[in-house]
Amino acid sequence: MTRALRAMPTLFRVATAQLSAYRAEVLIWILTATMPLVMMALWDAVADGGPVGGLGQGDLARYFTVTLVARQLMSAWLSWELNPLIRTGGLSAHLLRPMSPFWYWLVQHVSHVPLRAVVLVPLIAALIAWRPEMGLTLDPARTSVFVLSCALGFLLNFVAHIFFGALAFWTGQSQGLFMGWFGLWSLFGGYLIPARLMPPWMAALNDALPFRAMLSIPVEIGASLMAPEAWLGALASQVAWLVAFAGIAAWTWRRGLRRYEAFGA
Amino acid sequence: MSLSRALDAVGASWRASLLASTQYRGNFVLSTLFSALWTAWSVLPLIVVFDHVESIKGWSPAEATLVMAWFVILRGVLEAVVQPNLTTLVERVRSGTLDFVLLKPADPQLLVSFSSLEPGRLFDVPVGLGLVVWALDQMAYSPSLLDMVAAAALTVAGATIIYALWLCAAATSFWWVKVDSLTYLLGAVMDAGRWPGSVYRGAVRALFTFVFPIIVMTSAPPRALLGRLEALHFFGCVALAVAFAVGSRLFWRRAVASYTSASS
Repeated sequence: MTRALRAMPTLFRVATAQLSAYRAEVLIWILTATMPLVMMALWDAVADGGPVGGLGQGDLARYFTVTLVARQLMSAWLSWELNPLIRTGGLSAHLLRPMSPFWYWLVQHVSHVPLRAVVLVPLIAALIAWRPEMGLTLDPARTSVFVLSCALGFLLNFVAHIFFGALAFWTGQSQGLFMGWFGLWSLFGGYLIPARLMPPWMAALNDALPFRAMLSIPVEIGASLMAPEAWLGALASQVAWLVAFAGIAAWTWRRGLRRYEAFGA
Repeated sequence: MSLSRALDAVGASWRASLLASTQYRGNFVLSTLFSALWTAWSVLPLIVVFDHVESIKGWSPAEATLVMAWFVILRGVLEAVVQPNLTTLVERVRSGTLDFVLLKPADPQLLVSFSSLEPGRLFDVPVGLGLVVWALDQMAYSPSLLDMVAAAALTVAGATIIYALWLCAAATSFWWVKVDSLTYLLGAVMDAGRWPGSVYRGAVRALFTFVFPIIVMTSAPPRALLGRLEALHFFGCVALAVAFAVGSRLFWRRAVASYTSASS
């Protein structure tokens, strides 16, 4: 741990250098997360005749604008990198380092956030100009709880990627499985449908699933669709899921690593 | 002669990619299975929307399902046939192995565009057709033969436009080298084709009609099938597809001309 802390400045320097080398590519990847805009167009047309489920056009515009931001702040892609590393044996180079390889990947992810923020600002300005009635404000209390909730959501995503990446120790390729998980996440996490508009069966299932903690909770906080009294409970549920996820991912990773070493890489 | 030889080459490489993709069987079965589930999930937002309203901008649930069906079909074609090839093209330009393709005695555009295949994703096509049948059954409507032919022709036109856009995006790799993410960006924009075109307004709508004509790809064929597309619009869509095909061919030629190969 202290070793990792001492390595942090170097890790960040490396990550920033990589980011600036592939800046065009990273920029394009940021722009591929347009789904909230597509959903915004649909729900905007739906609420044209009057509010749906208590949400008017302004509320829906605010919801999907915050979704766009939250998705950018919480995005993780580790399993896509782990898959080829495990298959080709490239992982060995990462394991040789005198600290957990996850510090390196975590820094890689975090170092993307400033660039994402820069890209988001004009986009959000344009959305606010399009729908001024969305009433998106930067209340300091809500904004800081939103950022905290996004940080928890990001860690949940990151740990889920470790788990799905580790499955490649057994299957060789696990992107197919991850896409299944991503589909569930986009449906139940509120990426496509705000939680409040979900039919009763979906809402009931959602209580037993982790996806709200991964997206919907921070979005509802940021879009002022959750009462401040409910914030603490929501954050606590995110922490609980994070502890559970981390346990499963760590166990799977260790088991997988034993298998990986067993075939002599 | 050279065309039939090129088609033989295409067939042989499709067989090879079928073998390659079934190599990791577990992942192949799962990704095929998930691609079917993924389609079901594309429809779910529509189901939820129609829980709340009767129609979206004049499109009934069944009509909106038709649009989604065309989106599913075209996405299947894109991910099975177009995307894998153009990702490979970008990689070949980067590593210099495009030399081997250019040396072959067949049209390089044909070889580059149709040499690999992601067979698991083709499953989307029957799923999309199933959605069409369900929607028509819901409306108790049976289209005339002419309408069906028109819808099929527009589907081919839509696939052509997609191919042309992706080819141009991939061809920019001759100048910028690492652009495979650009084709993913196009894929993200294509998501806009999930909903009827009238959802979009003003400048966005113009953009999706002429520049990235996703409305032409997914909203025009259903309207043709329902006999609601005027002849003028039909021919406009076909002309647009021809323009995209010709334009992309010219762009490809310019791009290849500036290819600097591995050794230079």
